[in-house]
Amino acid sequence: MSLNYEEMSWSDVRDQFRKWREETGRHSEEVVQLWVAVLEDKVHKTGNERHLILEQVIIAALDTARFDIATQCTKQLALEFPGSLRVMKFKAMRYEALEQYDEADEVLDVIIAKDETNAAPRKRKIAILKARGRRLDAIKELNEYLKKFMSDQEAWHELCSMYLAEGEFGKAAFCMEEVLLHNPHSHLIHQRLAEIRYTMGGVENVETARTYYSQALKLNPHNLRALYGIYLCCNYLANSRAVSSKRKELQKLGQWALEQVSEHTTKQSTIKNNDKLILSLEAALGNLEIKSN
Amino acid sequence: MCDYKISERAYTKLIFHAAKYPHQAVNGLLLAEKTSKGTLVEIVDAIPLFHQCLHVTPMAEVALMQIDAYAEREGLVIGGYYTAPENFYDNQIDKTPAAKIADKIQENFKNACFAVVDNKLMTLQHDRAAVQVYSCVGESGARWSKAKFTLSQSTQTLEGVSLLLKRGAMRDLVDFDNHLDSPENDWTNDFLNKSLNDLQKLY
Repeated sequence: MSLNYEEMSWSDVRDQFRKWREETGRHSEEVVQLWVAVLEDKVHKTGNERHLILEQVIIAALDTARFDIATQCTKQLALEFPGSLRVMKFKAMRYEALEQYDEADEVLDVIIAKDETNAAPRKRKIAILKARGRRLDAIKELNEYLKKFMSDQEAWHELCSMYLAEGEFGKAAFCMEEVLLHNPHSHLIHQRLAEIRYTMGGVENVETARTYYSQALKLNPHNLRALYGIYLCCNYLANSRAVSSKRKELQKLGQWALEQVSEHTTKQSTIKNNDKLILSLEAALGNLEIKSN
Repeated sequence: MCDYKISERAYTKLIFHAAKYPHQAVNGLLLAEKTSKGTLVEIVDAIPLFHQCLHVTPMAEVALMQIDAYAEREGLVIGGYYTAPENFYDNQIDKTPAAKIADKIQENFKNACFAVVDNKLMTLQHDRAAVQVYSCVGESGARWSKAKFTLSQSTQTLEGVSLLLKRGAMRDLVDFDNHLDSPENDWTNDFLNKSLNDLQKLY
């Protein structure tokens, strides 16, 4: 998405920032560019949103290594809110971005000591462990964190990714199920669970995967991954020790799914003969199965 | 044991993919000429695959099959696998995501290579090729060890890629994940198949 900086007024930029904040999109490079080009001089006009904008710019500046901007904005916030723990967190994040992890840990420990219920600095400490490559420690700490803050979706999601990286698919599935409890109508979570189950392999898991994929498809009929997933699951189950009546049913379902994929894709795809590429799935499926063990 | 020659097209797409998602791990396939010239394998093209959740397999299976058919059509073969690790300092093969895909590729194509992007060399100014290439040694089981590779027209390629990175060209790269989100996205990245000189005129 390219934005025309010369044509955007400060209020347009402010609205764009607000949109990104609400959608929890980071867009760090664009935030920094827009800040420097437009909003920096006019930020005092934004009223109550000023502090939220400053926080957004600090994080974007740390992401893009613009430490000058980050320090300047943090100073502005510190002037208005002296001794604030929220501003102290940004100080710790700056150390983290500079890879001065020990100093960052010290600041975060001070914040945690002052306020035990503050979740953010605990998560930052886990992020530091991850950045240092100490994945197993990060998993341990995240588990401890989740015992206290059980309803933190973001944390469950992160723990799921960490377990996947370690190959612990069962535990990853459990974490994703926790996220699903908070978002029962999200087709993406159903689909992600299906993928984890499929990867685990075995008839039971693939059957579960098929149910999750079907639910994802029900929630969003355009979910291409769910359609492919249903095809893969049906194929796997049909080739395994299935009863012959079920086998026909599975083959029909798989065939339907593949046709849907072909239809959806070829309508919009710019790749030549994309339908032939999709049909190649039928031919090749016997030969390829990437096992997780 | 063989040597590899990476074309500017493959290197550009590889680096663009890693640069487009600096905060995530990415992976993709490398397409090579079917017949190797002696012990030299020519890597002609790169197909970017995924940038999220690399450890789950269903979409990888779908992608591999489609790309196999595509490669066949173009007179090429899937000759390698590349990946960029998530953590800045991870550059060893055993810490890379989804290495099983590389093993599978090697079963089908003996001289397959495994390219790992060296995160420390990923800057806006490339002085050296920011990859490490490994190839398979020994008959039984896939054991990867460092292999020699050259970048075709090394200085011009590195300069061209650096310039395009500074101009933000990597944002237009499409990987298989983008295609699955919206089928109109072209994972063959046909528009990037021009020479680097022509691309520089676009940005």
